[in-house]
Amino acid sequence: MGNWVVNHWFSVLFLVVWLGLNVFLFVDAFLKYEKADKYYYTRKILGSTLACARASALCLNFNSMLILLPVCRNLLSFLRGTCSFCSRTLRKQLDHNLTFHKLVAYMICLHTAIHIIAHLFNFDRYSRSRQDTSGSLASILSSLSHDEQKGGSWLNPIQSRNMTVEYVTFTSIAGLTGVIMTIALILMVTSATEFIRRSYFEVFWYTHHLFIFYILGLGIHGIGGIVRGQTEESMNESHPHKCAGSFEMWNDHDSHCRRPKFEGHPPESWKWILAPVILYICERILRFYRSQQKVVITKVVMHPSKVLELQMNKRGFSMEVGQYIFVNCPSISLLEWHPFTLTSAPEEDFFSIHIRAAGDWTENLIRAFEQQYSPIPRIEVDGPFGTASEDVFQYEVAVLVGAGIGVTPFASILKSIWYKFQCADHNLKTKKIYFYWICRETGAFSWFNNLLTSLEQEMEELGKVGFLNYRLFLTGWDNNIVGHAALNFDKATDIVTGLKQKTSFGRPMWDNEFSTIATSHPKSVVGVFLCGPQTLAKSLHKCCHRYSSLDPRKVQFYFNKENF
Amino acid sequence: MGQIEWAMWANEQALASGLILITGGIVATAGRFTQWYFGAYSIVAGVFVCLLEYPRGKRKKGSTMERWGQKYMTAVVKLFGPFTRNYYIRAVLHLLLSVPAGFLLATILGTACLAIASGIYLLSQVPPAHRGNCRPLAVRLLVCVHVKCAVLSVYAFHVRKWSSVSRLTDLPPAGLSFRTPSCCQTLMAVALFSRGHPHAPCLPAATHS
Repeated sequence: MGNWVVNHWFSVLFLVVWLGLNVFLFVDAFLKYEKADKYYYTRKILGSTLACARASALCLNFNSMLILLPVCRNLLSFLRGTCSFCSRTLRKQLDHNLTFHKLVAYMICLHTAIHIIAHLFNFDRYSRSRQDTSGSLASILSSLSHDEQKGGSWLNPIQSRNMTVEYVTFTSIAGLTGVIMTIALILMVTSATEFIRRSYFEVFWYTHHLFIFYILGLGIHGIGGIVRGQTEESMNESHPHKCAGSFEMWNDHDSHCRRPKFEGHPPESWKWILAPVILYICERILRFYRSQQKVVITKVVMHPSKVLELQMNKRGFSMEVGQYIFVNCPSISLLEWHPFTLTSAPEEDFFSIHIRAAGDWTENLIRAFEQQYSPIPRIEVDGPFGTASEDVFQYEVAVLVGAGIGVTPFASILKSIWYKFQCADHNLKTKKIYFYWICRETGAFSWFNNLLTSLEQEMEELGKVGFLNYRLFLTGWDNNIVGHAALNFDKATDIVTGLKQKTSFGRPMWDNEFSTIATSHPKSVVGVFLCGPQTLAKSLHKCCHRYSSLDPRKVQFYFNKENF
Repeated sequence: MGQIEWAMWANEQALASGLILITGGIVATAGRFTQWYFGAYSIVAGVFVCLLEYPRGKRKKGSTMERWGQKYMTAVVKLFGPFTRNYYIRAVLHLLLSVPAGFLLATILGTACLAIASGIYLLSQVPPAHRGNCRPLAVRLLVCVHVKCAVLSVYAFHVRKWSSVSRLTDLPPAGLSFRTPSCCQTLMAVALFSRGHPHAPCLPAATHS
């Protein structure tokens, strides 16, 4: 429990502040519309649902302002860079941007539901008081004319007895934009469920662009001024506390009270969403501009197990270890952008990615590059964008875990180490690296093999054998492989990979690994980096908590996960 | 695009629509709105749709994540055999269920969402190889007939409601005729050409993912 608090205090604080602001805004707006004299007459018709609708509207404005910010990845990269003096815990929160985006989206859905339900009651009450002929205060207020010549100070948007609520909904700007926004929101939410996102990413990606309708609708939703309150002038003249009781006599000339005049509430949503929308537009323009810059493909390598390596050059491109880029291939799909981690080191004069066939787009890309007699397809690149791997060199001890193709960010890190050693850069904070690669089949090893072989040699030459400790785990093993390995136990190199470090079979026992690391480095800060499945993330996270000491001076494990 | 199983998204959309219908129905019934009996219908329809859509169908390719506890509902849904297995029937069923809820404001959102789900189910029944590419003649003719019927019904609705439109487009004065107006012909031509007309060149497979 103590470890959990130490690792998560900032997230918890952030969420508490956000929830607190939501509650505060809701209660504040609710009380304002429930108590203010300006809405006294409006409340006579509508009751408390007016305040409910307005309070949820304010929360909707607030959350709609927040929702665009976590998806501005260039802005987040910029913040990450400028806050390099900030502590690790603060910068790590930028990794959780998508989680926050989802939470804000759920809050928007909740408030949309409250808002719609409250307005359904409001419309029904307006309709009833328009039909009401009993001469009550509500019916007199509803009969206030829409005629501009009489001042146009109406209260009830339903103008005549024959008008249905459906007609008012679909002919008023507020109603129509409300319906469009809600349908856009529902479509966005249903296509963004985990199952759809993971299985059919294009459905999610294209449907999510309906947010444009949501934002536009939100901007013009309040233009009609349907929410009416009494004007200042009218309140000075005939205050509701004085005049509400004598409503039958409003038309009399000798009465002190005149008929109240009403005015619409000006739209304020646009004030909330203007800045984030501008930021997001800048973000998209920046992405487009970066994508238009020419990308030169210098080398194409086809590795076994259908892994394609592309080495490219782009003017002005500079990267850090473990960053990722978005790649688009117009000849395959004009609008799709797919993320890939960079596998080259910053010290190299090109940047490279390794692409594995894992779906429609990747298969088509590999097929397009396989054709020997047609020209190489054009590639557009946006990025690089930073993720947790950038922080690897800030930790004294780093534990890197890559599952399958998830080893790619670590390829970049290991290459970078090699180059740093070549340049004799001994100012690296990192003193020790533990690298775990977990893989199902041997075929996928081969392109990474060369890298590890050269690193092994390099370490031997520099006499720094202990710096990099790596363990390779083959999870798709069978008795044949194990038998073969047992027979060749005495050989210096591994029969599977040809490396000096022997391959282990099955999954790592994390408890053993962590306790060994904790005992070897009792006073260090250890960064654990994972690029792999969620289940592995959970077990590593647990181990980090279990083996971190409560005393901040002793060994601390910090967990970082790549997420796309 | 060819490998997307739209029925999976239709399932999510229909489940959400069921919940929206139930909520709208409860609000209308509890608030005793005008014509609140449509709200009562909406609750029943919503519950039915939710129960029908809760078991997630098996994907053609890849593993399917079952929803929690769906095996109990699957047993019931299976009893209806082809009526629940066939997505065409489901699409029509959803469309029909959504219509009565459209008469009440509180449930009209459920109507719209369920109608959209119905549309996506229909889309899922277009064979994957034929989405966006050249299609065999039979399928093209079927689409042609569907588009013609849809456009004719839209045209008839428009003629009844807004006579000024008929003047604009030179339509026959009243009643249905088999001579389709030029705007409808353009619509059909656009629909056909965008999805692979016999006389339009076939779009190469590489341009579609």
